Amino acid sequence: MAGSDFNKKMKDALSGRAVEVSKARMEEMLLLTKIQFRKRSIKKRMGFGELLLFQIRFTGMRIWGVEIVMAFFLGLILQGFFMEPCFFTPRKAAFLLSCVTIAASILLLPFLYRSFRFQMMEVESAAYFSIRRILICRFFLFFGGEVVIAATVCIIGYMGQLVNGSMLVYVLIPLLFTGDGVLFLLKKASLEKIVPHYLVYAGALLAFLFVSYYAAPWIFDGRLLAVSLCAGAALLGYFIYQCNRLVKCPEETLFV
Amino acid sequence: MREEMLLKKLKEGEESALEQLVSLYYPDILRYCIWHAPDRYLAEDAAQETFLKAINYVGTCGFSGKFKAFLYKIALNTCRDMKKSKWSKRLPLDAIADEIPYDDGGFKEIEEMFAIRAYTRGLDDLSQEIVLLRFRQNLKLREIAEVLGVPMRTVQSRMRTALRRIEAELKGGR
Repeated sequence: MAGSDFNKKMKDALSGRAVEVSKARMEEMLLLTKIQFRKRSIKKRMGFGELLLFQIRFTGMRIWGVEIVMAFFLGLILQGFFMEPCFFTPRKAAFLLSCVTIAASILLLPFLYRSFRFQMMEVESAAYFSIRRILICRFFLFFGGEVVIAATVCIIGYMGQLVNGSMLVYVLIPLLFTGDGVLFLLKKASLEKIVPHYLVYAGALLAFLFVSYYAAPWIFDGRLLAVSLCAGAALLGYFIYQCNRLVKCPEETLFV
Repeated sequence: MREEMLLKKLKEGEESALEQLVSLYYPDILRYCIWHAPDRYLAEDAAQETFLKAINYVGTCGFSGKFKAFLYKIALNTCRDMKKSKWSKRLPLDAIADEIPYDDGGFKEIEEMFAIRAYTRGLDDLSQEIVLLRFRQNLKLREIAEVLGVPMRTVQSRMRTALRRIEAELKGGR
């Protein structure tokens, strides 16, 4: 069957008769859409805080369940590691904490991707926010989860007498790096490419950690505490600044 | 161009733009919903719900892209939701029969049309939607990619495979 003939057959078969819309039906349709349009114009906008709280429920028990199970197993695995004699050095513990923090941040990518794929149009229509802002909202929720995972890891390390106050910097700095990185990508990058971009970014951070561990292991001995604290303060400052902009700035100026 | 102009007026609050947009797209969306729905009335419900949902979103700061693709996206999701909750999965035969123009062509052509429709329904969801949007709704491949949220290469390859399959089944059925 020639290509164009077959395409014509397909078109004829699938198109069928022309759809006739009665005048009454069209008028009814126009009236309903006008009513909806007027209702929408006077609808009150949902605030960012309200949207954030709404996302907790909207995320669903299934995803929260998966997060809790993953955190539980991660805690179990790490507890096993910390009990091993070969890991009974603070340097190794610091290295492990940094790597785990970055790896944990990758866990939120499937959830962000899923949210983006389903578009969440009903939520957007209620909140008058763009998909970007809603993804950022979801990110904050899961970032909170990462903070919980990082805290759990620190507590386990503390119980194993490996983690002390100065080691917190090996958790906080990677955490802030990952948080700032995701925020930056959610604001600037094309939504379809956020996952691969972030994987490259997280991969680069992990590669840096591995190279540092073998080339300059003294970094994990807590010697660069002052530099680390300054870097941490800068990263935290950027994080707080972005959060503030998200809450206060209107949609039109936020993603430019 | 016309669509952009109407959307711009709609964002400014002009209801006349809304009337024109609905008149422009309602028949196409209804035709699309008729394929998915068990009968005409349910298809009209689905089309109505599509436009009401679209009105909520158009004109807000987050809306971007083509309105036509956006409408089809909503229509697709609406039909899927309704299929899960309200509609029966089996399409009544008389609903298919209403769509075939009996006055065109002979018995063989009519039979072929029925067969094509049946084979199209036998495709997987994504391929079926691609074929439908291309041949029933006359959308361009780029628009189909936007509606379905898949890369254009996927649309091209899936459509090619689907058409080959339908053609083979038609030849096998003779």
